Parts: sequence; C-alpha cells; structure tokens
Amino acid sequence: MNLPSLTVGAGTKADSPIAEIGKFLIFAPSILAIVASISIAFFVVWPKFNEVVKLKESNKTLEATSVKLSDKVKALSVLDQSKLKTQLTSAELLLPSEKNIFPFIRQIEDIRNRSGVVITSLSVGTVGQFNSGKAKPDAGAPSAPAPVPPAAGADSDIAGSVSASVVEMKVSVTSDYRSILQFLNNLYAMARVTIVKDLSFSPTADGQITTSLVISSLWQPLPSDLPSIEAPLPSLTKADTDLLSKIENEGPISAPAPVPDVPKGRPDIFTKF
Amino acid sequence: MADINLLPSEEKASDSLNSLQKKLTIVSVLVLAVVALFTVVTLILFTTEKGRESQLKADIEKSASQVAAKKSTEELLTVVSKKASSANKAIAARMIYTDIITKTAELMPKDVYFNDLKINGSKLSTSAKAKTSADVANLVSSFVTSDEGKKLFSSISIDSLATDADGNYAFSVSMQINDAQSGVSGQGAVTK
Repeated sequence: MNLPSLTVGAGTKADSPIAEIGKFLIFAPSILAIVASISIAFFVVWPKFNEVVKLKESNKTLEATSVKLSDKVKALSVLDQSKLKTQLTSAELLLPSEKNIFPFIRQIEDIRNRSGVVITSLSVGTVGQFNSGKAKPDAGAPSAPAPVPPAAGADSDIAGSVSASVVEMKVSVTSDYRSILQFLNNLYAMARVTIVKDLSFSPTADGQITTSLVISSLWQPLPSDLPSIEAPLPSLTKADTDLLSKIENEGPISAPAPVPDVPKGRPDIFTKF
Repeated sequence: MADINLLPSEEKASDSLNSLQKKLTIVSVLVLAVVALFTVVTLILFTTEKGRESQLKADIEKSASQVAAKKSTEELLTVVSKKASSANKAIAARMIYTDIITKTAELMPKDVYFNDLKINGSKLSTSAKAKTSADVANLVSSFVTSDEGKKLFSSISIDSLATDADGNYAFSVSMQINDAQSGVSGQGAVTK
C-alpha cells in the first residue's frame, strides 16, 4: 500500500517568506529607536554642541574685553583731570602742536638778550599757512596744514624716531667765548625741545667768535583720533612725569615769551619806516 | 552516548530571536539614554553660555559708556603721554655740544689752540696750532688714551701737520664723538 508521505513543515505558514519577515519585524522598534537617536544626535545635538563650543570661545574674548574695559574704567577714574591739564600745558611747551614759529623766534631773541650775543642773521624756512577760519574751501589748497617732513640730518633722525616734525632756524651770532657757550646752554635749557646742529666757530681778529648754527625745534601735531576703546590707557613713566614737573616748576623761565603787541594803523602802506 | 535535544528546531530559533530582541532593546535604550543625556548637557551648556554672553555684553556696554564719559580725560592722557615720551626720547638722543666743548678745552694742552671748529653730527673738525710737536702728541694722547678722553672721543685723526714761519705746528684734526655723549646733560641740566 502506498500511503502519501507527510513532510513536516512543508506547506505550513511558518515557512512562507511573509512569516520569515514577520519574525524580524520584532527588531524594528529597537532599530528605529537607535537610528532615530543617532540621527538626532548627529543632525541636531552635535551642531548645537559645536555652537556651544564657539560660544564658549567668543565668551572668552568677550570676558577679556570686559576685563580690559573695567581696568580702563578703574584707571580712568583715578586720574586727576586738572593735573592732566597742567601737564598738557607743560607738554605743549616741550612739543607744541603747531610750528609756532613766532613764539620760537621770540624765545631765541630772549635767549640772545640773556646770553649777550649779537645775532647777525636769522632765517627760517617756510613759515606756514595761516587761516582766518572764514576762508572758503579751495580745491587746490590743503584743508589743514600738513606736517612738515623733517629735513635730512641728525635732528631728522631724532624727529623721525619720535614722530615729530622740525622747524629749522639758521642763525649766525657774534660774541665772546663765554657768551656763545651761555647762548648754547640756554638753547638746551629751553622748554621746547631743541636740537643744535651744524655748528661752526670762527674766531675773528678782535677776539670775538662768529658762530653759525642750525637750531632745530621739534613740534608734534595732536593725534587726530584716539585708539580703539579697548586699547589700554597710555601711562606716564617716571621720566615723563619728572620732565613735566620740571617744566611746570620752571614756569615762565622756560615758557616762550608772548609775541608783543605793536602799534597799528598806517596812513600809507608804501611809506618806509 | 550523544545528547538528544528534544526541543523542536522552531522553538530553538524563536528563543534565540527573543534573546536578540532583548539585547537590541537594551542597546536601543542605552543609545537613547546617552543621546538624551548629551542633549540635556548641551542644552544646559548652551543656556549657561548664552546667559554669560548676555551678562558680558551688558558689562562691556556699561564699561564702554563709562569710558566714553571719561573720553576727555583719556584724550588728555594720550596727548600728554605721547608728547612727554617723545620729548624725553629726543632729549636723550641729542648731543649737548657745550659739554663736549668744555670737556675738550679741559683736555687740551695749554700750548694748543683751535683756529676754527666745525661740529657736524658726531664729528668735530678743526685746524689748530701747537707750540711744539710734543703738544700735538699730548693732544692726541689726551683725547684717546686718557680716561676722560676715551669717554669723549672714539677716534681722532690728524689729517695734516706742518710747521709755519714762526716754528709753530699747524695741523688739522678731526675727532669722532662717542655715541655715549648723546643727551648726557639732559633737558635743562646744562649750566645756565
């Protein structure tokens, strides 16, 4: 008798492809959860974390700025403005903000009177442009006096090293030996920073000495703008304060004599003296 | 004798799948927990840093306004400091020729005199006269070998030497001033 044989599992649901897939569907929630977690971490949290790192860096910079500014505020709050104004007056005597040629000539004349020398010639280069303040702006003319470039020589080296400009005065004087030394000493003692160069001494038959020299006087225009707000405050060294106090204490001795007033009004502009 | 496993193979497969599912669930929960922790930490850091940023910005604004209020003082200090420091540097760099002339006179032998004197930068040149050749020799040694002379001059050069009709020695000499002489006396320290 030939009975049909029965193969176990053949033709049952468990063996169908759908049933096989169904078996693995139980992993789907876990896998989905892992994928979703990693995606969120990668696409959302990680960029935010980078943002935090950048924010931390920028906060470091902000903190440094804040410390600098608060230090600056502290330093500014202890400064005495009236003392600074006095020091500014002294600083202006040392290095005027303009050429100030006429006060400079007055100073030299003053020194001549105190030293007992005779100035036989005195010349300065271009005196400069003076504005009444009411002139219309001219396209061809400069709106503000440009700093004079320093001339070549030792004084220009010094002026260049301190970002200053130079006014040069060529002077010839006749005097005895002691008087010319006194004249030179008085020049060095002037409040305004002055450099003497190109000295030439020629004794004459009558015992006098003819001296020609170039007197270079420094001036420094005011800074046009302040450094950035975060820049630290400049400080005055002991040498600076000593120099300023010295000028302040010397007072009118080293200060330039004011240019005197002269009688005004002429009936005819061509009549000689 | 070999072991006989009586469990059906379907049962065994189902067990291993269940075990795998459990493991996967644990892993997924762990990943979720780590991500959640990372998210929470990031958010806390972000909030803290943002708060700090706002605080710092407010501090900076406050300080900036205080600095701006003291702008005139800052301007004064800037100008004073720049001018004073420039003046000091210039004074330190310049040569005080009166000192050099006085010291030169002290070092010169009595029987030597200068007919003229030119000073250009750190170079002195002169045509001089001496009574004897010994005076010329002494002038040279005084200027370059004596301690005072060494401080004053770095070198001396006699460019010509000849006797004149009176038997005096006429010579031209140039001297190089030591750089150390720059600004020795300083501002206003010279004798008035």
